[in-house]
Amino acid sequence: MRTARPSLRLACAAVCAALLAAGCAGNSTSSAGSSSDTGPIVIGTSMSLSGAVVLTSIKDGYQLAVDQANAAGGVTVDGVKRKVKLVVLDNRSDTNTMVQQVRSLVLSDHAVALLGSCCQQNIDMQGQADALKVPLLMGALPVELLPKAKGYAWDSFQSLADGADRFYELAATTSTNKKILMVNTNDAQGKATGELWGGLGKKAGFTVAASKAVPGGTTDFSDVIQAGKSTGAQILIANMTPPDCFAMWKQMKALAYKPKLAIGLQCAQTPGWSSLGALGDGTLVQLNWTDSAGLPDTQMIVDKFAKKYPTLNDLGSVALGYHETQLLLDAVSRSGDATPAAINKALATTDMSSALGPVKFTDNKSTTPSFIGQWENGRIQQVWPAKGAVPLKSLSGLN
Amino acid sequence: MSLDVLAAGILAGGLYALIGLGISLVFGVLGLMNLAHGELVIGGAYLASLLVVDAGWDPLVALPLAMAAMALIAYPLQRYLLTPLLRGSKSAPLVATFGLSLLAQALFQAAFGTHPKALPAAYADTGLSVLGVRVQTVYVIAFGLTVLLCAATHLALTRTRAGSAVRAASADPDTAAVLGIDVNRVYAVTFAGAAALAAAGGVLTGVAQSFTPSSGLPLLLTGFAVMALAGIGSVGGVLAAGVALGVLQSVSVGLFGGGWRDVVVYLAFFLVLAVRPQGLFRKAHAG
Repeated sequence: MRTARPSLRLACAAVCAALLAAGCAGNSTSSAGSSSDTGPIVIGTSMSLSGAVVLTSIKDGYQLAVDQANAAGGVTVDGVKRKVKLVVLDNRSDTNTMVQQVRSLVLSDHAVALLGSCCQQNIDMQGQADALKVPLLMGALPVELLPKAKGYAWDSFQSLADGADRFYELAATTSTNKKILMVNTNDAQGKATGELWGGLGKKAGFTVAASKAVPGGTTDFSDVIQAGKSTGAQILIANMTPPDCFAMWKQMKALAYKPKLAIGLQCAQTPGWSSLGALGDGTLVQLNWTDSAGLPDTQMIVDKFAKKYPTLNDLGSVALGYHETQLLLDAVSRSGDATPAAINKALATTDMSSALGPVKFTDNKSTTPSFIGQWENGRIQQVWPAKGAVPLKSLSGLN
Repeated sequence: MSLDVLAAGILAGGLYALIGLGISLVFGVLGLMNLAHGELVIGGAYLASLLVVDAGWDPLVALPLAMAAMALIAYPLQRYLLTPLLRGSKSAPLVATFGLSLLAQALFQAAFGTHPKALPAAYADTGLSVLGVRVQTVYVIAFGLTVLLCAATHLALTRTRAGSAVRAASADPDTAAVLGIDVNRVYAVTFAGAAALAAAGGVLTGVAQSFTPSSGLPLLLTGFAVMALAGIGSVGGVLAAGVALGVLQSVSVGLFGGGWRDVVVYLAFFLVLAVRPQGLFRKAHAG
């Protein structure tokens, strides 16, 4: 006979076990490949294609570059045209799965090089690339955040410092009291970003009037908003996940906090920002690519993907994936034998221009240009630097 | 700590209580820890988005339809999948709800994409000032609706024939069956009711915040914390626990900063489990 009141402790233990099991779940997807002297050159990637982060647009950029190379007969290595095989595995936003998949790509599929995922996963993947001695080319990780390691991870992306500089250049052209409310997630990346943006702000003549660290998943920002109001900060720098920014933007409007300038780092890039409607208008974002800056291959990317990805940020992700793969295929071609060690060596001497701009690596990093965009009527347009930009509009959503 | 922050905590607690109420109901009656409850919440938000975003309805008008739709989806799940499993091992239904959670996330992703969505409404980003305290209108609405739904649930459980059947099935399903109560149906109706409550929480979450296919887990944990604080079988306790959780968050932010919000909340959660496993708002059972 069952008891009338189930044991809460037992249930808690069961819930914890189930959640742990969820964290340990893996992906059994695999595929065969070969990187023999004459067979296809295998490039692998373990990326987040489901779960919390979905990088389909970056994957499309990878595939575009590989398809173009294969359509031209393949990559020329030591005078021989060789096809490229791209093996893409979905790690479902789970780092443990990613680690297993990277090992499988290298040891079973014989991938000679890896393409990155995004953000923290790229940092986690760096250790695997170094351990397996296989080059890893990544973007979607600001160059300052790539840790020093054993030299097999290469990052070609924008820098946080450049993005901050562009923002402060733009902010200096507007009429504000130069007081900043800074809100960051309380993880390592949030802390590093906050310190860097705060420091560069001071150099540019701005003052961090209030700084708040919030855990991911926060839904009540009343204390943050109160800090902004009490200090009179007219510039908001929010470095949070999209759902957190959504909640904060609504609460800011409801509680009548009216900054004159607001940038959403990480959060406002999502195309979902448009579902905020007019509330999202005027919010600034940091971009790694725009269709108005005269970058290489812009029109080709727009022609192929503008229908699938109507927003600038998604197209920028396609450009990023295309850019990474172009750099990697260039190194494969120059390596002479398409072995991991030779490709890694060739990457160090990269000197080319691709979809995100010119690339030369120093300490395994190459900084690509940064832009500032602004949301208006469900679209993002470049507002800084001035070349290719439209005039800055007011932060109408919050005012 | 300002009164604005404290008021925001109290009102946010209303939404926490609404999410926790369904979990508490299912656990109290069926003895089932529903790991898919977060997806029932998010499912309600997505169903409402079809009417709100695509058809231009007000979220509060869409809310009863979303509740009804989630109840209709949940009823057969309990009747034909989870109830048969409940007769077997204790762990089978738990694992099944975990599977349902993953399945639902995949379905949301396939149907609606992965970008965050929000339910637009005039009251989503407006505020009210009461005695100098400024609060977000949608949280006032959420709190009022939670009180209403808690009262309705309490009355349904204590003042109706169906409620008597639910309480009988909860206390002793074998004896209840001998007395002619269709326990399987009672379980399914309870699960459907919990799903409807979850959907209401989802609609309000969508208006006040945003949602993605993977938003369910943090909501589940919040609801679970509410249930643990409240104890099983007390609708009023759930409301009080939700408010207590909201206030605790606000106080912890005021005292220690935002970075400690979750630490303090879950520390309190484990302390309650260790010291008063029956919950803060229930008396311990004798024997």
